[in-house]
Order: sequence, then C-alpha cells, then structure tokens
Amino acid sequence: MELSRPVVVKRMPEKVNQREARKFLADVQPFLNADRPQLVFDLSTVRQLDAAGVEMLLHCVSEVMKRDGDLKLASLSPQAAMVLELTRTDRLFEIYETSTEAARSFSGFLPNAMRPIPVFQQPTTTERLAA
Amino acid sequence: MDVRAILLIGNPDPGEGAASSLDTESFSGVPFSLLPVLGKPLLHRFADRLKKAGVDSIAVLNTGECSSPLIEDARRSDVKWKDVPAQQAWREAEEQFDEFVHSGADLVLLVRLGPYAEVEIDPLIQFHLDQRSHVTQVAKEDGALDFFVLSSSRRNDAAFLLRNKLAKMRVAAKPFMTHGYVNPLETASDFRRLVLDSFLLKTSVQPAGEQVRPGIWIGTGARVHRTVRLVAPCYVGAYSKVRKGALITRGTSLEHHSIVDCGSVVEASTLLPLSYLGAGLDLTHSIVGNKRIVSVKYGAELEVEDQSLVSAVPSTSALRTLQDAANLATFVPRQFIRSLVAGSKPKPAPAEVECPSGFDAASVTRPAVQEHPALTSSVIARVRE
Repeated sequence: MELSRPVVVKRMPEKVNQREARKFLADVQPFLNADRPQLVFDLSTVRQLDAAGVEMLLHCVSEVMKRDGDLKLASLSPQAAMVLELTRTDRLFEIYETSTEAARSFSGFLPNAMRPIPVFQQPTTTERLAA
Repeated sequence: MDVRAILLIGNPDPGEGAASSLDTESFSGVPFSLLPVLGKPLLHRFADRLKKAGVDSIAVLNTGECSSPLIEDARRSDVKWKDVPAQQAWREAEEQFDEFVHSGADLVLLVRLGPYAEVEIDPLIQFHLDQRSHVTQVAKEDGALDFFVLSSSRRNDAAFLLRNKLAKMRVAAKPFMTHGYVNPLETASDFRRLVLDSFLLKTSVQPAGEQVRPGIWIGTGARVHRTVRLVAPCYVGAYSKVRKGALITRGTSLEHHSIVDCGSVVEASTLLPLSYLGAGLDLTHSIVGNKRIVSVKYGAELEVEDQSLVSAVPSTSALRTLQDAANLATFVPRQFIRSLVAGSKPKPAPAEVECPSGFDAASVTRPAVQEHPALTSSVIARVRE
C-alpha cells in the first residue's frame, strides 16, 4: 500500500517575467499532469515577479486543483510577497516559512491509518499481545 | 541683519560604503528632502520657513540624483541651485560660504537636509547673538542636528566645521535646544511617518489643496470618479486621477499627476508625482514612484517592469496628451483583437472516464426523469378518486 504520494519542491527563478514564466511552466508541466499532484514552489530567490508570473502561478494552482492536488508556496522573498499582496493573490495560496514545512503540511491531511507511525510510538510486543 | 543659508541636500561624501549610505535618506536616488509631502517638496517648505524668518538668499547644493523629474519639481527660481558630486560637496560649501561673506552676509545658516527639522529660526539667531559664539549647533533631547549658525567673521571656524564634515567644531559652544518637530528621514518608514504626522497636525506641514471634507484634501484639477471612496485622512494632489471604484484610505497621499486605476485600494501609502498604479491592485504601507515600490512593511524595494502594475506618467503635458490619444486610438482595435483571441481558444475536450474492469456503468445510471402531467383540475379529481 502506498503511504503517501511524493511532494515535488521547485525553486522559482530570480526574475519571473513572461519568458521565464513560460520556461518554468514547461519545467513543471509533467508534475502538474500527474495524478493528485503535490507541489511546493520555493520563492526565496525571486527578486522580480510581474503579472505574467502571477498568472502562471494561478494557472498552476488551477491545474493542480483540477487533479485534486495542491500547490503551496514557501520561503517568499520580500519582493515576491509584495507582488502577491499587491495583486491580491496571496490569499489564494497556502504560504509557509520554509519548503520543509510546506512539504510536511501535505501529510497533515492523511488519515491516521495511513500516516507513518514514529518509532517511539509503536506498540511493543506485549502491548500488541494484550490487545 | 543679513542672514543667508546654505542647504546641503543628500548625504555628501559619507565615507566608506557610500552606495549603501545613499540608499538611506533617499528614494530611488532622490533625497527624501526633495520629495513632495502633501503637495509640496520638503525643500520648498523649509525655504518658505527661512524666507518668513527674513533669510532671503538661499543656496542649495544637491549631491543626489540630478536628472529625475522629481528633482525638477524641487527647483525654485528664488533659490540658487547647484548640482555637485558628493565628494566635492564640502569644498563647494566652503566656497559658497566665502561668496556669502564677500557679498556682505552677517550670519550664515548651514543645514544638511537630510533630516526634517522645524527649528525656530528667530530664537536661534537671537541665541547665537546672545551667546556670542562663533558657531552654534542646534540640538534635540536625543542628539545634535546638522543645523548650524556661523558668524561670517569666523571663516576659520566655518572651514574647520566643513572639513570635518559637520562632525567637529573648532571651539565648543552651548547648543541651541529646539522643541520643534524633528524627523530623521533615514528610511521609507520615516518618510511615511512624516506624512502621517502631518495629517495628525504634529508638524507645521499643511496639505496644498482644498479641504473638501474633514481630513480630506483635494488639489487643483484633481479628478476623482463619483464611485471612489475617500476615507479621511487622505490627500489627492493636483491633476491626479482616481478612477472608478478605487478606495483611498488611512493616511494615503497621492501627489500631483498620479493615477490610481479602477478598483485599486491604496492604504497608508504614498504615490509620488507622475506615478501610475494599475487596476485592481491592493497597495498597503508603501511608497510608489519612478517605477518602484518601497514597502515599509517588508522593508524592501521592488523595481517593476510590468506596466500593468506600476508605471510612470510622462512628465510634460504634451506627452501626456499624446499618450492619452494613443490609448484612445488603440482601444477599439485592442478590444477587437482580444475578442478574436478569446473566441479562438479551443474548448477543452470532455475528460474520458476510465472505469475499472467489471464495473457496469449502466447499472448505476439514473432512470430518466418521468414527465409529470400538468396539474389540472381533472388530474386532481382523478387522484382523489
């Protein structure tokens, strides 16, 4: 049984204009087409983000939603945060401090039975027999 | 008494790390003291205060950017203006001091703008004369200011002060303590604080415009659409345009010839002259101008290349008219092309659903909806029977 699907973390380029956005979209397209994709975009290096970049993000999130997946943003640079706030798109995404936190957040929705149990919480043999 | 003034604008020769020092006290290379606050550049406001106190001859030595339209706004015919390289600013100030002395000045005020300070000029001059000092420095409770009164007969003291970049005086003297408003104007946050303090009447800065409602000022020739919401305190500068459905609120200042497009929200921000803010945007705690946004909240500067977000309005009226005419002429063709492109988009094909083997789709399809006869009186009678 598959416990959880892979989370793909992609770092966005420094300058996200129309040309770069198209290039980035071509890169992530295979992940967007997957079944229930789980994506995290790392925006820590973004210094310039224009309307084409925001549109690309919206396109990605809509594609992911269509396939019952999710797209989360992480490590927003101040410039990226400014543009997302300016264009009122910050409220459409789940935003995390780090990529690790964003990736970890996907497992938060798994039912308990599917969640991997940490070693220290696993029942001992005596407990299992008693049960 | 002949009192004259030398105003040093910007941060002349700040020593090591010059670039980083110039980033503070300025917006996109233009010193904050040359930017307008509520309709008038701070330099003009300061010069007016000096003129009111009887200081007729004022020389400005600008070490900042000299080609920006914002600088052109700050120039005045009654103020002698000189653009100087930052490294030569102190030498130029010394020469200007000599020129004033030779032309008969008794006292020279030497001020670095830099910080914005509302110093009481008459009491300062009286204090300087009473103390019989060669040089008097102005101070506030939390520190000294780059604001000096120099006796023209003491050339050596002036030269010593300027060669030490205003950091040291030849003979120590009692400072003049000011009780007026002082703002260091080091960062964008300080600049915004000055705007808010002016709205709250903590400074002597008066908005240049007509107060149409309590706390709402509108400059001459400003055009505000009837659906726009203006929430006090706010200022709409001369010849600005605020288009349909916009919201201007919480201490926002739109300087002259700025444009806020349809549906945008501007909160606690400043749009510098000749700035355009695109449609449907949400600008908060920022300063916009020269195709840049400086966020007070994030403490970051963003250069915007996308003209649909932020752009610059042409600085001359002829260019502005030409741009408006071009926009009008291309509007219909643009809409036509847009409709063609939108119409030619292929419609997405219906997704094919794969059924697992052994699954009979027909068994779960809903039966067709039965057509009910109309509820006439004969039908009701039949049902009752």
